[in-house]
Amino acid sequence: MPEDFLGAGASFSTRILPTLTPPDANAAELHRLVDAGYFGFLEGLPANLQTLGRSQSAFIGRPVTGAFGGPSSLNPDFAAATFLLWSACLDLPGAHLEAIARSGGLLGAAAVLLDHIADGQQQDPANAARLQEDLVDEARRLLRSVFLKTSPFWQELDRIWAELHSALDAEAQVPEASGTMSREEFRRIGGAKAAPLVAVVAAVAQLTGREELLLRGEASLKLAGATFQLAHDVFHWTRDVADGHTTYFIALALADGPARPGQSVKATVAESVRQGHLDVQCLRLALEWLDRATDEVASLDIPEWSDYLRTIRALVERLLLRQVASYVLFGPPGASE
Amino acid sequence: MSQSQPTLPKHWQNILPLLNEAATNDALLLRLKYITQEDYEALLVEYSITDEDVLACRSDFALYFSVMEITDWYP
Repeated sequence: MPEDFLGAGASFSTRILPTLTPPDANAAELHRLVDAGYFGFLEGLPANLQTLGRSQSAFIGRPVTGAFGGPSSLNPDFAAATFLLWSACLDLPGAHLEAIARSGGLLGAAAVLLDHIADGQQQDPANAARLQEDLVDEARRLLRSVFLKTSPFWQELDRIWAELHSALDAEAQVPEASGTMSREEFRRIGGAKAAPLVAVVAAVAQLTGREELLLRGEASLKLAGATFQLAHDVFHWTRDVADGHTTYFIALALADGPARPGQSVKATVAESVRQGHLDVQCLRLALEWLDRATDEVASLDIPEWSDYLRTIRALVERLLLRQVASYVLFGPPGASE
Repeated sequence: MSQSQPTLPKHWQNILPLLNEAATNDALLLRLKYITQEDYEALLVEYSITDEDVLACRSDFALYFSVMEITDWYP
C-alpha cells in the first residue's frame, strides 16, 4: 500500500469544492457584492471585531497570519447560493436578490465562526460569538427590506438557524475519539450545516410562492451536506483522531470494539478501515445520498441545481475510484514490493 | 462510474473496467482482500490488464490522484 493510502487527505495538494459558476455577468457581480457587503459591514463594528472579521484564522479554526478573503473565499457556495436556483430567481427584483445573496454570505460567515466555536478551535471564542451574532443581525436587517415582519419566512429562518445551533451543540458533545454516532445523528448534523444555503432557498421560495422549493430544496441540500461531510471525513480521519474528534467514519471504524490494550486508536481505526473497506463503503453511501439529493430536486425544473449535484457526484466517484485503485494496485500479497 | 477520459493514459484506460467493477461489487472487493499472487495474476488476465499496466499505474498513482480532495462545508 502507498503510505498515504489511509488518511490520504494530508498528502493532497488541491482543495476542490464544486463551485457554482455564475450563470451570467449579473450573477458574477452579485458574487462580488456579497464579499464587498461583508467587508463594508465590518467597518461599522468595534475595532476588535473588525480585526477578527478580517482574520483568516477565525474562519479556518487554526492560527494563521493571512487575511480573510470574504464569504466567497470560505465555501464559495455560501456566497453564491442564489446561483443554485438562478432560474427561479430571474423574476425577482434586483434589490431583493442582492439582499438575499448578501445575507446568505453573512450567514455563511456566521455559521463558520459558530462551527469553530463549537469545536473549540476559535482562539478568541468570546469575540467570535459576538461577531457571528452581529453578522446574523445584519443578515436579518437586510432581509427585513425584503420580507414584512409578519412573513412566515422569519419562522423558517429561526427554525433553520436553531437546527444549526442544535447540530453544532450535538457535535461538540460527542466524546473524544472513542465515541459513537448514529447514521441518523450524522445526517442531522451534516445536513444542518447547510443552513446558510437553506436560508437562501427559504427566502426565494417565500418570494416566489413556491413551497416545494423549500421542501425539496432543503431535503436535497441536507443530503448534499451530509455527503460533503462524509467524503471529507473519509480522507481526514487521521487528523480527526489526532484532534480527538469523533466523526461518523471513526465511529463506524470503532463500532466493533475500541482499541485493544497497547493499540492506539489510530491503529485500530486503520485496521478496521482496511479490513472492512470502510472508505469504499462510506463513499458508496455518499453517492447514494447524492442520488437522493438529485431526485429531490428533479421535479423543480432548476437545471443549475441538478448540474451542481452532478458535479459533486463526479468528484465523489473519483474519490471512490481512488480508494478502489489503492486496493487493486497495492493490496494483493507481494504487489507493493 | 466515470468512464475513461480522452486524456487518460492507456494503462489507466486498461485498468478502469476492473476499478469500476470493484467500486460497485463487494464480492470482487472481498476477493481482492484475500487474493493470492497467482489469483491476482489470473484476475489481471481476466480483465486484459498487463503487468506493465499495473506497474505504470502504480508509478503514476500519485500523479493521477494527488490533486483531488473534497472539502467540508466549513473550512
